[in-house]
Amino acid sequence: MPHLLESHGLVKSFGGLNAVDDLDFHIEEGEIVSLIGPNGAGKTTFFNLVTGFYPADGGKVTFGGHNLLGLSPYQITKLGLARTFQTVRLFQEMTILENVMVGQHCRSRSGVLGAIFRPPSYRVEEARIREKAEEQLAFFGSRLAGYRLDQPANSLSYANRRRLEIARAMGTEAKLILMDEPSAGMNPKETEEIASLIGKLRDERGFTILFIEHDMKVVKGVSDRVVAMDYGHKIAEGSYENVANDEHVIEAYLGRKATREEQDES
Amino acid sequence: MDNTKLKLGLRMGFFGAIVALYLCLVGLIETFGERDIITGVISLGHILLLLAGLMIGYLTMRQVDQHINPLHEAERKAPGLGDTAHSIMAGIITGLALGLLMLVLDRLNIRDVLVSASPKLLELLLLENGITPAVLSLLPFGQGLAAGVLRIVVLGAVLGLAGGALYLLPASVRRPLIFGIGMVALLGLLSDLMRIALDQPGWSESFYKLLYTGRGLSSQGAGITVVATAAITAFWSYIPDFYARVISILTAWLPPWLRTTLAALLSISLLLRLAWFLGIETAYPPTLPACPGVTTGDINLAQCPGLILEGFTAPQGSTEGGLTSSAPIVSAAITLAESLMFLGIAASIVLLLLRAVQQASRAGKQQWPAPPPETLERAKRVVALYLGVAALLFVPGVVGVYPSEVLVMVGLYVVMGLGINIVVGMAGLLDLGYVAFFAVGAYSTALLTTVDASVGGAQMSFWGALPLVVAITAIAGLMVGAPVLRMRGDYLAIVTLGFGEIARILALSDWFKPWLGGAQGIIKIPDIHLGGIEFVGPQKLYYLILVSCLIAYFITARLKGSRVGRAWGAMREDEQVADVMGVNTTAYKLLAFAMGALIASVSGAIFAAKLGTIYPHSFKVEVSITALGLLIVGGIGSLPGVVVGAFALVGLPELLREFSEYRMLIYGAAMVIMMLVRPQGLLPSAGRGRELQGEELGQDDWMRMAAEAEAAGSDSAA
Ligand SMILES: Nc1ncnc2c1ncn2[C@@H]1O[C@H](COP(=O)(O)OP(=O)(O)O)[C@@H](O)[C@H]1O
Ligand SMILES: [Mg+2]
Repeated sequence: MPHLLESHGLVKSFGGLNAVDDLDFHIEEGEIVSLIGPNGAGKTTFFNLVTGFYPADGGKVTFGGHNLLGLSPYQITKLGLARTFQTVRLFQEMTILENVMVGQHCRSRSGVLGAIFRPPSYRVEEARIREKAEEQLAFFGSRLAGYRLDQPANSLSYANRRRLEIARAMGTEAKLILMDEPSAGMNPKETEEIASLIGKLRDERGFTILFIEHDMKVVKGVSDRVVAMDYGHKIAEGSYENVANDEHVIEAYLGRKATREEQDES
Repeated sequence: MDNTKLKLGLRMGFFGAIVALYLCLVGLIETFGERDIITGVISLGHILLLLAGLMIGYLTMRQVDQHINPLHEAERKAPGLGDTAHSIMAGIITGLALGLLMLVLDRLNIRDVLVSASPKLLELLLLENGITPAVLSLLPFGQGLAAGVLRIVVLGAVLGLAGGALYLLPASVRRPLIFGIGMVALLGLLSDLMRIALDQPGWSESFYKLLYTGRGLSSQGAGITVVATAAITAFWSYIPDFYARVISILTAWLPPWLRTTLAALLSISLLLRLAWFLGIETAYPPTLPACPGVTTGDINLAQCPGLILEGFTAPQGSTEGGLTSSAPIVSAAITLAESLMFLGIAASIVLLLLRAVQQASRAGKQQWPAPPPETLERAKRVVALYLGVAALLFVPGVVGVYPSEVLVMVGLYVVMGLGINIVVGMAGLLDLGYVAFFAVGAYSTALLTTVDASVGGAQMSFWGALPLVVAITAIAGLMVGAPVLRMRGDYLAIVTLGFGEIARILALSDWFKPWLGGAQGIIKIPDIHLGGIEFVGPQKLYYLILVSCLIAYFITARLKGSRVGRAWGAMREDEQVADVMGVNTTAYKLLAFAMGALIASVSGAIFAAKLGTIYPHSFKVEVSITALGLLIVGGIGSLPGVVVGAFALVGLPELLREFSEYRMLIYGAAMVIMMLVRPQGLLPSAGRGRELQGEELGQDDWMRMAAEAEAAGSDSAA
């Protein structure tokens, strides 16, 4: 039985810099894995490689047995991989509901003629898309429900925008959701909520989750396994306790901090 | 006195001075001075200057208001009457500038440099031109240069004050005022059009005479317009209620069978009149034979009530002119249907009166049962639909030939606008070469249908050619789309701009001359026939365009709310994210280009058949710019906005041909003002330009507070 997602010797370089360097990674179905590492470690780049945002310079990525490298992002999404972004990237001027309905795009098929003539098949499909989208939004309780459905996404507060991004990813009916710093910019209470949300996403909805996180409380609280990265490499892997006490990890964080302080002084 | 406010006033004054001088020296005031708005009282040129003065006063006050109420301040301090001093000052400075200009005009000859600095301009500024002596004697300070200069400075002060005061007025007063004055300017501008449409024997003539005299409104007409418009504006918000009430009474008090019969009769006579109108064979310019009951003149449906009355009494009208053989039957049917309808209306009125009397005698005891809400809603919609359809169908008959021609142009641009709205508004692909698709549609129609033997076209009928034309143009859309797939934003705009020009230059080239006719283009494109109907002349073409507009509107509206529309929307907002959310952006870009091209081709096809001849000159980049401009004016992505934009950018300029010299200037100014004042367009589509909602903003408060706390912390640390 292959892993749900796995990469071997993945490389991506920008100019001379290897942002991701010979990275081996895997995640099982039903797992919650967190990816940690100092800024610039290559975590987001890894996500971008896996989702087809960037072409890789070497290595191999498979998802459920399919080779991902060379596929377009939309094809990868159709295979069952969805993501959120480090900086929120919603479809600002579309409504909240529409944002999530776009997620259903790869699970539906009606085209121009269907839209114009609206045969029963179109209407059934459209109703299903809508229903699924509402179902995802309902997962967030009253925050994204009710009258808000028809408001443009840019009317939402920051935290709700992040939630909507998650809802949109859920809307693609993915098996695996990649979340890039889901709690960034949130206050402590909202961060706690995100942590329990990640748990619920797996337990109630059956998503496999890989997320990048800086808040160690969240990482500790929900991860089955933690992977730490630095300079594009995997430097540690295992339970939270093991990784948190790993000397490479401590060095990566402290070392990086030291250089930052040096920079501040200069 | 507050120094900043003073500076604001001064700055706005200089701004006003520059605007006023510019308007004068560029020749606008003089050209517009020829056009009466209120005959003998005020010309368009004067209105322009007055508006400039008012605007300066208004804007100064707004600046002052913004100064004393900085952004994010919860407590609002209303600017007081005393602040109008700044508006007055700005007005005076503007007036002084004009006064100075008058002195210069009087003493120096600067016409070598500034052609428009003519004695005529001086006369206009002295308010001595185009004004009847009676009105002139009312002006203060008498005549002569010194008096004139003094007068214009005082006028500046008064206008500044008026503008400032306008800002201070509550919106419920300001709106009716502004709309009233605006309506006078509009009706004055449209006086030629109104004369064509209304100045014909019958009740319309008396209406025309009530409002107009000479080439503009009469003073009395202007008064009536202001009062009526102000009243309508003030009561505008009550109109839906009033409408609901009328419909509710009608549905409650009239028996269903009577309502159904009336509706049926109305539909039948509408259709019959349309058949009559379209059935007449006539050459351009069409002199349409009379409708039943009328013996002479164009068909003018403004006279319909009269027509129907005469239909009762007069014997069958003569049927001269090139009428089809079925005309007598149609005319008899019209008379019959309308007589019956008239009877029905009379009966309903009697019935309504009876019920009203009954109601009054039983005052308060037992009200007539109101209809259930669903019935009412349905009735409201049906009546509105009837009124809308009737209005749309009768427009060409009512307004006459020339305005119909304008409407046809507007319609062609509405179709094009709807097409480009798919590409730019919905899919977010900035296409500046859209005219290419219009051209391909027109040229392929021409090639397929022309009867000119030298071209050796297929000589098909319009309807036979249309599917091919649509297909060819859609393929052209794909061909333009394919090479630019990887481009975005500015690059895409520049490349498509190039494509548009390439299309025109290819058509012009010697290379393609044997097929496309070079600069002479393709001639002898036959008219469009459908059954017995010949679509010749703008009044009939109108219907063809109307149907195209409706179809294009329907298609785009349907697409907008569909899976395809959402995919385009996602692509417009963020192409990369759309891809990650599962949208095949390559395919959807091509689809957008093809759909946009397909819709433009219909516009091009009708354009070709309408003119009978096409040549490359008709497909300049201006067409693309106008099509895009109407999107911007109407609100990008908004479908009603396309219609509004087409009327504003195509309809208005057509009606104001005499000012065509200034067309681009006005156009540009309008665009800039639009971008500054209302970047989301006149009728923005939902979701654009909306701000954060208050409640949601509150949720983000902690972020602001945290940032502030941090800032305070670092301050104290430093
Ligand atoms: N598009 C890009 N072009 C050039 N360099 C990039 C690009 N994206 C990321 N990088 C570089 O790659 C390194 C890793 O970045 P990133 O993956 O964003 O780190 P993380 O998400 O772990 O903070 C950084 O040094 C960053 O500057
Ligand atoms: Mg990152």
